[in-house]
Amino acid sequence: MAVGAALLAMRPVEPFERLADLALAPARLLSPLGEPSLWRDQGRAPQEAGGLAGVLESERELSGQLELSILRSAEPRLVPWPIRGVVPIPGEVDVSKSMDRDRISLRVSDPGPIERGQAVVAGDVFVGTVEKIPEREPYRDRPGLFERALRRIGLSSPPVPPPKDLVIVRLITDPSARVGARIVADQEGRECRMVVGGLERLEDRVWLAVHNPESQATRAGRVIVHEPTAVVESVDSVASGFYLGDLRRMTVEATERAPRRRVMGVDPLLDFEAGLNQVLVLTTRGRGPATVQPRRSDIVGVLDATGWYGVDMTSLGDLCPWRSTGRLGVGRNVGVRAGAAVVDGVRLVGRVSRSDQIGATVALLDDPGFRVTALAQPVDDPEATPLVLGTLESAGRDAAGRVSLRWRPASGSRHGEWLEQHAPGTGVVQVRLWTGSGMRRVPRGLLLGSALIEAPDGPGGERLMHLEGAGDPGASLLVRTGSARLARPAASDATPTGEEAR
Amino acid sequence: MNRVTSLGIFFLWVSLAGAVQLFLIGGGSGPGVDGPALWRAMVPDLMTLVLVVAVGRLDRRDVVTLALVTAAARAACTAAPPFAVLSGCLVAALIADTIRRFADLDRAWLRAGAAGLGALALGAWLLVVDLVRESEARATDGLNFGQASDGDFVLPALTATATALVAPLAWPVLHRLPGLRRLERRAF
Repeated sequence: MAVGAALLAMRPVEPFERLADLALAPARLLSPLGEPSLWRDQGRAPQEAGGLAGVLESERELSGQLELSILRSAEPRLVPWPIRGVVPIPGEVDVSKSMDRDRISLRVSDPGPIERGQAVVAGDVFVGTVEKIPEREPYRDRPGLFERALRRIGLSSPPVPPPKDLVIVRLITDPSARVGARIVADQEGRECRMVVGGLERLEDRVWLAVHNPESQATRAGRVIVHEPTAVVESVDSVASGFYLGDLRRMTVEATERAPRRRVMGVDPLLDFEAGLNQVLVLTTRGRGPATVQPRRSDIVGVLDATGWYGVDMTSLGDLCPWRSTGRLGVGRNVGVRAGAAVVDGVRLVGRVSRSDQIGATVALLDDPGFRVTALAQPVDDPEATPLVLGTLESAGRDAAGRVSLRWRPASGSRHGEWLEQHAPGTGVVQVRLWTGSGMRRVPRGLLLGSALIEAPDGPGGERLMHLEGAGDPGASLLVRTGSARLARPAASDATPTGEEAR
Repeated sequence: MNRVTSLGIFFLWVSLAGAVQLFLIGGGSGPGVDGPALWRAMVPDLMTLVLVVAVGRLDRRDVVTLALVTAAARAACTAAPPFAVLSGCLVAALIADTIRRFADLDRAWLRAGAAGLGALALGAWLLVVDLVRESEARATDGLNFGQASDGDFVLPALTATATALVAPLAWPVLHRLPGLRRLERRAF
């Protein structure tokens, strides 16, 4: 029995995990016994969720302002815009398809005019092309005899059809992705055409791979998409002129496995792994405005959306001293699933790591290894375009009790320019950190806290950020029962909003 | 009072031990950049201690049942996977049972050894599971929480030491926990 359990512990099997949760449900009725573990924390708890009176309201306003800045940042600034005949459809990056980092899923505002192969851009940067619209794929559900029997007795259910607003995008980083490109003027002022697509992995950075460059002598220059309509009947042609990155060359020294070689690649202008938040799909068949022009009134506040449930912790702490977790008194019975955000006002407290029938375990922000995609916005300029930080990883708490987050900028991070713009000379900026897109059941725009941000030393370097004003797990909390996408409650909708949920 | 009721009472005792342990753990600073959570690790593993004492006192045929009950109670107090907790509790109970088979756990050093070894085996095992699952989740881009490091192996050792030190002192009290008479081994 011990060996079997050990194997299942190492290699979790979903049905067995479910069975274990079901079997343990009665045992968890006694979890309120752990309430004394909250006493110490409750002594420090502020008067109101999210902090002192008035703070919550200002943080909600700041979150809305951040959303507006992100929506605006999706529109090009340097590339000629709007493009005649092109209708941009905004889309928020959802969760990347599992097992494949070269694809992202988008939740778009209007999927109607979107077709396969249409270009997707983020600001001035070309991201990839639409690969699939799951809702339009043929729906296959041919259950066998056993499956049909399971469904009849309620132990199985037919697959859930994909959401109507879901679009799968193949990134330019995919090994099979290719796009025509050119350098307008290289170091000697000459044009150079090439094909870009896939990745060139180097020791401390990742570049986009260059194929068949017109000239091997070209060493530097900004690479842009170049798919002239007259030559190639491709929808990428509407993306012509969008940026791919900067051409770089370097020599990779010989190793035991490979000889010394010269590498040419495009240093991307985006962190494709964790830095995508809001994009535009460039459609040619839609009817609508040629620009997005978001307004503050269009934005759904994080707590104004449906899909929150009021809850308190039943215990705090973990018997494993290397972990920092807490326990909620609700679980699958109210729709809480693994990954769901737990908030104190607008502040993120943690994420549900495991959910059973009557409770859920929450990995707190100071749980070592807790990962969160984040955005930074200067404290003194909340309307500025936020800096995309990518993934931050918790390192626990420091001696002063502050949550420490590790930041290792990925290839494509634009932190250098951003820091120079907001703190010329010093390079140190006081920022508010917010959650970004791409995390399952965690909406964009939740506050992590404020911290000082400074550029790491060189590529591959890392910085430690110490958070002030992180969420309080001892306060009255809300847990996300919906998806990461925020939806405004309908006027007739009986579902309570975040605040009414308590 | 039948056996099931006694097992229910044993579950209550283990859960109470877990609550006390969580309360004590809350007093120490958590894991952080300045080092592992040494103070938290110095809190004795009371749940394992209750299990080991029960294994020493109660009928041998109930060893696995006691381990299952302890695992059920423990799973509510930790983010560790339930199957990892279950296998760890079984190992801790088997260690105590093996020691008991050769000696009657009537000496202080035997009690300390049984409790310490049980806590060490359980803690180290949960750490290994965390390390394995974390590295797999990174490779597959899966959703996973918690990140142990090799340096954290000092923590189960500390907890085991604290548990071993407390065991001889707490044993007489835990040995007389009420409501377990039906599970006691019979002399004849």
